[in-house]
Amino acid sequence: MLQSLIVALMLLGAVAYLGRRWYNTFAASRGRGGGGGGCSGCSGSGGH
Amino acid sequence: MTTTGMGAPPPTPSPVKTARGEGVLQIALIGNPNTGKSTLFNALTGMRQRVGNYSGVTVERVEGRYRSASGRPVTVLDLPGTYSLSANSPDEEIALGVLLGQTPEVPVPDVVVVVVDAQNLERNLFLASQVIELGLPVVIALNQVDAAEAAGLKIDAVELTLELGVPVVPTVATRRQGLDVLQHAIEKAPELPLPERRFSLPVTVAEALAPVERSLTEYGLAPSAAGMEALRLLASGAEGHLAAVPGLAEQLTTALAELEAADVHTRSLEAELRYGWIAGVVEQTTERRAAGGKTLTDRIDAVALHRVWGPLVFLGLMALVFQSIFTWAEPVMQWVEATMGLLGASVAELMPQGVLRSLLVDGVIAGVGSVIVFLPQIAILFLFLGFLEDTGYMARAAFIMDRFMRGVGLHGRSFIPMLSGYACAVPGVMSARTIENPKDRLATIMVLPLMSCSARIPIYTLLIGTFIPPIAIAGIFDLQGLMLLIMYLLGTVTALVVAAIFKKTLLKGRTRPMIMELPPYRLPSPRGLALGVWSRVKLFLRKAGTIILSLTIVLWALASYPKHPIPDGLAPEAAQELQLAHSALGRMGHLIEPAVRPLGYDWKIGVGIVSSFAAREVFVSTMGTIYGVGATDETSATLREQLRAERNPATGEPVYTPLVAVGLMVFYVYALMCISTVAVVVRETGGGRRGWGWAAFQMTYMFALAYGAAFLVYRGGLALGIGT
Repeated sequence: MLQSLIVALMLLGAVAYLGRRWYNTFAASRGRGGGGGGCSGCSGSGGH
Repeated sequence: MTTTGMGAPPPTPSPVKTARGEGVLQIALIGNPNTGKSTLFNALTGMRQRVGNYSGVTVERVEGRYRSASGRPVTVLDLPGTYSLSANSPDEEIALGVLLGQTPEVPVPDVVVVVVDAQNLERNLFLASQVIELGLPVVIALNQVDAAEAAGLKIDAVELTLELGVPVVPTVATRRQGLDVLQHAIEKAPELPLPERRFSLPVTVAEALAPVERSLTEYGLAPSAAGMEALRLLASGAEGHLAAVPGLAEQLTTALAELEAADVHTRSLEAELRYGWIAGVVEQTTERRAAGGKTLTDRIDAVALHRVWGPLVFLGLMALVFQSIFTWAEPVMQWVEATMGLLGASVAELMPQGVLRSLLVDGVIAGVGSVIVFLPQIAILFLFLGFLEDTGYMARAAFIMDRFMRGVGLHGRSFIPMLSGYACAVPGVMSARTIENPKDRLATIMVLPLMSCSARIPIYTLLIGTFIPPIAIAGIFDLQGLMLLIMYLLGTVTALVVAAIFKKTLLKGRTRPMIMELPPYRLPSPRGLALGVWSRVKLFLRKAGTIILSLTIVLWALASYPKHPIPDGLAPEAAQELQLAHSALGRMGHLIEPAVRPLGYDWKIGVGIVSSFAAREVFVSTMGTIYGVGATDETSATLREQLRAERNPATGEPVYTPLVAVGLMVFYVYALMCISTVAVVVRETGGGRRGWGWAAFQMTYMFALAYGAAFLVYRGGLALGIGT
């Protein structure tokens, strides 16, 4: 029972994380220079 | 004071009011790329900033502070590296705008420090001669005097001060030499007479430009700055920040007509006048020791930039990099693999049977662990790339590539964003902002994701390491390293071919040649290299711990539910397979399967491809999770062993053959499987409907290319009986 509860919470957390991440990624693409979101695989060199 | 043209007029007060209080001294650093400007900025302010002239690095406004010996606070603005103030590119426009006081958020500097590379005095003085005419106090930092002396150049700084009419301070920014004298000169510069143009214009030119200069002065420019601008406008026309000056365009047309009538080449006039004067200055101030003594850089470049040897050396170095990814990474990778296996076994042993144990062992450890094992490969790749960049070789690689780039009609500058595409397409797409021509920029963005980014490394190395035998080819090279090199070349060559097609059809336009700085070779600092590799490793681990972990949890749930009734007496392997096939993921996979069947893939690969749209490495973690959930024993074999053992239940034939593996790699070379790249392309191609249009076009053409090429490889291989 406890295991199922933890798994359900982890699943919920994962879905919420992915949803927020992708929402931010595309929210930033609405206009140039929107900043934020962007790359999940890198940072720094382009200042994004 | 010696002058080469008209005599220096009496000092005039600064025509421009500065926006700060008396206390703070505002200075601006300007200079050609690769003069050590950023190093000097760091040395003065103690602020850390990446050194180099790759696009995007100094385009943003970078400021720092220090306190002079007398205790006065000084603000330092690091302007973008630029060869002139001709306002031909966004960088030059920013620099000119700041110096002319036309950038609202930046006050006009009290002192301009021009960083001049002592090794390339002639070319660097072009920019210096323009800055000197702006009517602002100027100090010249004659940087890298040590390297110039090593190359046999001795520059008389006192003589140069007299010739230019502004203080010249020899410095070696990397060793902080001359900084105290420079700081002193900066503090005293506002008390000196303002510098003026040091050469005279021919009478015809001076007369023709007089009305233009008058208009610019009335518009608010300092008289000397108006003189500089009038001469510059002859070549560039009244555009940009001066477009609003009343009557300027007409006056300029009249001046051009008068000068053309007098047989003056107006386009090259400024360059001729300035370089003519500069040649005299260099002659007067520079002593060359016994000519013919070639530096080490010259000797290396004789081979590295050779028309034939250059590209071969480049290819050889790349082959070495890719070979080392297999040879060096394998032992570390096996160790990480073993550790992951041990971790899975320990968790399985310690925890009671249940869903959480299954999630941790079959999902998280099998999925995320299968990606983490590629950490050594990523580290080795970036160690090599960092080494090549820090030694100065990457600039040569860009120079070699420029020939090919121009061949396809792309600006040489495009190679720099494309080069950063080897790490990740997102910063590459963003740094394409520095390409002035919008069509060149768009063409670069459209082909950039074809460069193999580091997210493809886990896929390439998993498939090559598992299915391509390490047959020796030539000495230290083997088939695995060669295959990886082929994948990278395939992406690069295709990017060039596609760019050529775009430039001849959709994005037709002329391409201007590129001026490029080749810094002398130097030994990279181990600390700098280690920091570079560490930042990449950190990013990879962060990605594994966030996006890959989250997706793995979701995929595990989809692969485990809904539960399917298992008939009694079914063997455990068959029961697991039945459950997986009837899970949500299995059903989705079977829906996708008809689309990927022609490429030789089963439903599991299909699911891997679809899920990897979130990030390419997810293909590997998805395979890890699917095989983790599908396995009967939780301490089972590595992903590589499982893939090799996978059989088609209907035929008993292996699912993965070398041919399927190569086809799959080709698919990943071409397919735009990256949500972040799509988002950044939308933004950088204009956003809104236009941006989405370009992104959709890019995804479509790349997917068609990926599917077509993978189909040809698989079907062609089958027909020829290769790799089956």
